[in-house]
Amino acid sequence: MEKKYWQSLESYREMQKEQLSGSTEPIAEFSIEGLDESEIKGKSSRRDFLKMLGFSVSAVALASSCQTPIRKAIPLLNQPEDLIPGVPNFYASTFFDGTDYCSILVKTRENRPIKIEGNELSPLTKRGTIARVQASVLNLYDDARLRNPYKNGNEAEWETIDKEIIQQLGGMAQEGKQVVLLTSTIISPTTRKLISRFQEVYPNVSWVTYDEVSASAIRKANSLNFNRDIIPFYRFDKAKIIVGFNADFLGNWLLPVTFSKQFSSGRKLFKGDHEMSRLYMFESAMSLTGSNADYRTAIKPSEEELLLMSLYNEIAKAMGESPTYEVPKHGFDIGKAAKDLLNNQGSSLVVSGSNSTNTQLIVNAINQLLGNYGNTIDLNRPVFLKQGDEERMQKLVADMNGDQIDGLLMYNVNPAYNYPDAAAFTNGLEKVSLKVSFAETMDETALLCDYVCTASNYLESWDDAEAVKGYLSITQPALRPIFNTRQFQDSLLKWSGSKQKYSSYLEDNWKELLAANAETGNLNKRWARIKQDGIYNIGIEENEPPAFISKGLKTPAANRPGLELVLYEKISIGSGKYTNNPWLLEMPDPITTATWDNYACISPRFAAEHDLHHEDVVKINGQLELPVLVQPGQAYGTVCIALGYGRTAAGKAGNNIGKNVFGLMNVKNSQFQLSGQEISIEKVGGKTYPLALTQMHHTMEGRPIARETTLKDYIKNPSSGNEKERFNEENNSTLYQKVNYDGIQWGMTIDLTSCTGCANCVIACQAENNVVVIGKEQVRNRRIMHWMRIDRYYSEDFENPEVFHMPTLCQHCDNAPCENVCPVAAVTHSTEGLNQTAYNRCIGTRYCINNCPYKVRRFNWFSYVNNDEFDYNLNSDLGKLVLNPDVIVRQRGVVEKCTLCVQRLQEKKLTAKAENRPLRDNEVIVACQQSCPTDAISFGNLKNKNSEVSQQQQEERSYHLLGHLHTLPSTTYLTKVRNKES
Amino acid sequence: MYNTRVRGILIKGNKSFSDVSRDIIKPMDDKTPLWWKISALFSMAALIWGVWGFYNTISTGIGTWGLNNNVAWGWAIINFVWWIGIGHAGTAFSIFLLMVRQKWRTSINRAAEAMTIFAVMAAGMFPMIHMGRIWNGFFIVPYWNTRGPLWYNFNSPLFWDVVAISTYFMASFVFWYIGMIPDFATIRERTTSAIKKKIYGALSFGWIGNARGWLRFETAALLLGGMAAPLVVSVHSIVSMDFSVSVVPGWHTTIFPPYFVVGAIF
Repeated sequence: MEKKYWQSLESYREMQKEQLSGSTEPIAEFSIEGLDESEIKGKSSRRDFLKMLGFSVSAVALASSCQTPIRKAIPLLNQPEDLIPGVPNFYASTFFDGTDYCSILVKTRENRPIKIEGNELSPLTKRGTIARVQASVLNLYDDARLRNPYKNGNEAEWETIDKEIIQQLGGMAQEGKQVVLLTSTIISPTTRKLISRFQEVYPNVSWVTYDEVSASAIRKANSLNFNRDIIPFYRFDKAKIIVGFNADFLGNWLLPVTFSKQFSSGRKLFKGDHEMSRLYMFESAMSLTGSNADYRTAIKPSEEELLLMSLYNEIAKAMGESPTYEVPKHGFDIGKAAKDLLNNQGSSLVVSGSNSTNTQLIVNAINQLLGNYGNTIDLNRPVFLKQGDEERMQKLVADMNGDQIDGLLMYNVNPAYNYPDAAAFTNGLEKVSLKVSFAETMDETALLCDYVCTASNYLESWDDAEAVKGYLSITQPALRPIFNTRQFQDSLLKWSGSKQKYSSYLEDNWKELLAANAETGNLNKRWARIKQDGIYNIGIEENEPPAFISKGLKTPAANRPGLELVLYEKISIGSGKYTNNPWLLEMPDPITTATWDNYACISPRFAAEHDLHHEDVVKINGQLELPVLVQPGQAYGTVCIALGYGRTAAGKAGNNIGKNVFGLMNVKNSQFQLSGQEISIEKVGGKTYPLALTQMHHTMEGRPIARETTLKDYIKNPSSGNEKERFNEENNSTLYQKVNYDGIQWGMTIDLTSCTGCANCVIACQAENNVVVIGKEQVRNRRIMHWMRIDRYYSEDFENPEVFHMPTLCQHCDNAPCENVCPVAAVTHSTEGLNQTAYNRCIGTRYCINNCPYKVRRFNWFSYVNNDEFDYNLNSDLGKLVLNPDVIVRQRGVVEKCTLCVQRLQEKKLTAKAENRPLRDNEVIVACQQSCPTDAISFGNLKNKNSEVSQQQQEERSYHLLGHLHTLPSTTYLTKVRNKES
Repeated sequence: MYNTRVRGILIKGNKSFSDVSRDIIKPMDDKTPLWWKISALFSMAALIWGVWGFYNTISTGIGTWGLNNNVAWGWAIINFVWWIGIGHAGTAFSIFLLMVRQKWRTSINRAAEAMTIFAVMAAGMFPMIHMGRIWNGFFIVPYWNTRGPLWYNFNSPLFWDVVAISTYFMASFVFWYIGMIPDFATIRERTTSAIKKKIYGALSFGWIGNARGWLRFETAALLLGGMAAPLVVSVHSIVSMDFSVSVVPGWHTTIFPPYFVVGAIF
């Protein structure tokens, strides 16, 4: 008889019943030699009885005690051609959320997006991303997403909503009533075309663009100086001297990925390289860019213009230009920066993040004097980001309050939360008769609207994008809309009477564009190719920069003695679109290392003088209560607070975290400025508020960890600052045999000169490896789970320190302290040099955590999955869809850590094996390395002496972290070189 | 009775050996006194509290403790070391005094040995609940399995611990038990309850108190004592190696083994 398997007691009983009733095929009479008749006929013997007894007892015991819950997986009836279970598909797409742009690849497994990677082909972002791009995939699986369109707060049908809105819009168009389409910046040429078509159908619709963080001053200054209302494309890679004024171009300013790529490409120091750019930073709050500056000066916002004017004067004087302007006294010396700029005319760059036209006019004048236009500033390639117009926005709010607006359609904006005078906006909104929102979640603005035409996530939508002129890219859906949602463009098309879907509208438009660009051949094929690449570049005319129209400069006002406010976008959550994203909320800020909150940063001197301490609560302007964080590098007399917090309708993770400070925005000359407003703070006596900072979590007890040198010393002696490494190498001795690897030994190198500490890798690792979010309280308990962390060290001046960012992950030691102490041998060394953990063998003695000198091992203190105490993405069926099926979700009570993305190593090894060839160098790319915007991480086979990583480990800058412990790590760091004189 | 030249009469009331035995065994057959019940109540309350703590730890996770990702060991390990130290004090009293033939040890040796046994049991409990996955704790025990080469790790001090503690427990337990055999026999003889007679009869292994028995008893005690005495040094040295084998600054030091042993005894 054939063997029968059974899975549960029920199926076992079924099976037996069948046997007893004889419903299966009757057994034919047969005889086999050597078997007696009773065995063939099924008559039981004593042995059979004992067998059955033992079998049924153990079966009952098994079935009643250890039955695992049965989960049914239904296979596809017809397998789609391009879907192989277990094999990921990648779709080229584009991330644009109204502020940040990135060309991406979406990794999907069994049709669900699980990871975002940068698109290598993009000339702008070149495989890089920022943390928000990495985390955006989690927004797709956000429980706060609306599942249907809404009408007056209730779920509704698309047909009803469409009918009613078309009717109302039509009526308003006939009566000539004013309807406004309020959107964020739109960089999609096709959507812009669609909007103008919508305006043709409804001529009464006017289009207003609003950015919560504006850069309109740059455009205004350029329209004054060059007659062009544009933001130019900056080339940090061409600049040898960069002088920044409050412009966080590595973190949040305009195109952080592009600028990080450019900036780091000018600072790579490998064999033979002796040149790197120099960055001067003048800023109020310690920003990511400031922390990477070679020379940083802390200034108050009101001093920015003074310094810029002095800089202008010095340069103009040296070049014999006139006029120079009178500058009120200030205590700073700008001579060194001016001298450097003068020595590098045409290859220098001065940028300012200020949103004051006057300031930007001075910046333009300096860049013009230095001849930077046409060299480091490209006016031929305008940046199409930040097209918001605050003047029109303010007029709109005034009109709304003046009963002049009858309809308001809002896409990708949330003014009820982030308009500086949110009360005026909400009051005005009440007077609008048709209020439509195209939000994805029921945000603060959508709550006030009659209709919420729920938009799809960008991973479910079609679109295109042109962030910088000539560099186009495509957004294409990676899956069908999960819910009953419809993208904004489809709604507009429908309402303008078209039967077309936006996908075909986009395709038609692109074919027109391709034809206009003299593309020959089969346009369908060309279009398919563009969808595959995700990008399309159009050559542009390289014109000489237009003539500079000098407008004269205004003498700046003297600096003010009062306390000034600086608002900023956090590297993690930006300006508030991601406040419900638990990955980003828990991402430690690269500078303060704080998670989950916003706070008021003040300088150490100010804190001492006003008797303020870390976590004391202060009242800002007598209204807002915020905890204090004493931040070295903060300018004296300034307070800096992050935007994006204090949301009331973000979702379960982000509601009521921190305080909303958009109301404190400096509205000056009808420009929304982030800094400069005078404020007052007073201590709320006896009240403290706990903050969750991570820097001191993984202390390495003051051992020689951070190593750095200056460019001058580096040129003299490439191993300067790294002398200890030589000493260790010479004095290391051991009784044991060195481990020998045949074939592969994985290794990694992290270039600390390139690393800016942006923490993109932290989130990339989290997305790839299913790292859990544990919430503020547990972060405070020092139990953060990130496999990759960015350590931040300060040095030198306490008030204005030098900053050192150091990504730290498992070093994969050849002589690993964690391995020999595990009593059950759950931590072992692979034949390829990986330090690996068998989760199902781990019993959680945590000896390895104690013994790891790098403190990179993480324990699962609680069950973080399906636990209401940790109500983040892993506590919902939707949120769990983001999990990478190649990586196990760790159980409570086991230790985990970086595996060097062993699933990726395995995948590529199998590919190479299937193709019967050795693994190529750089074929395996690990998650942290892949999307690093500065290419600071290299990874590969150390046994291959020609591999990139081997070459870098040969560099004299290369050092092993805590090498004197003789742990023999496979990871090395390259010393940080600062371009300083001394 | 016990009239010594230096200190006079040691046991007052002119009691014979038989009287002394009767006095000692008397509480066993008497009614349980109230003070005993009250203290048992307190102990039970403490026990229930402890069980609730264990339950909480095992059902919710070690996260209920104040440990974190850089200080991964806490009170459980401290308790473990402390209880082992307490146990050592008992062994030291009883065995060292036996070896140097100090007769006065008989007044405290039973209590000291019992202290060792229960202290070692308490000590063993803490590393168990300290484990993240106690239900897989048996992985640490060397047993035949079907996992091929995957066995325990001989390099790990935690495995040495398991061996040392179990050896120590067994040695102490046998020593303690052998010392009790004549006393069990005495109870067997004296008790009035038939059930107790049966139980103590079994426990006393048929002790009849003849000279040969006493001779072997003395030899066995001395031999076991001789074997257990080095354990006092080796067990706590091994416990200290949990710390000194690691590379943690402050723990990685050669003074730890003697420091722990001396610390346990004094």
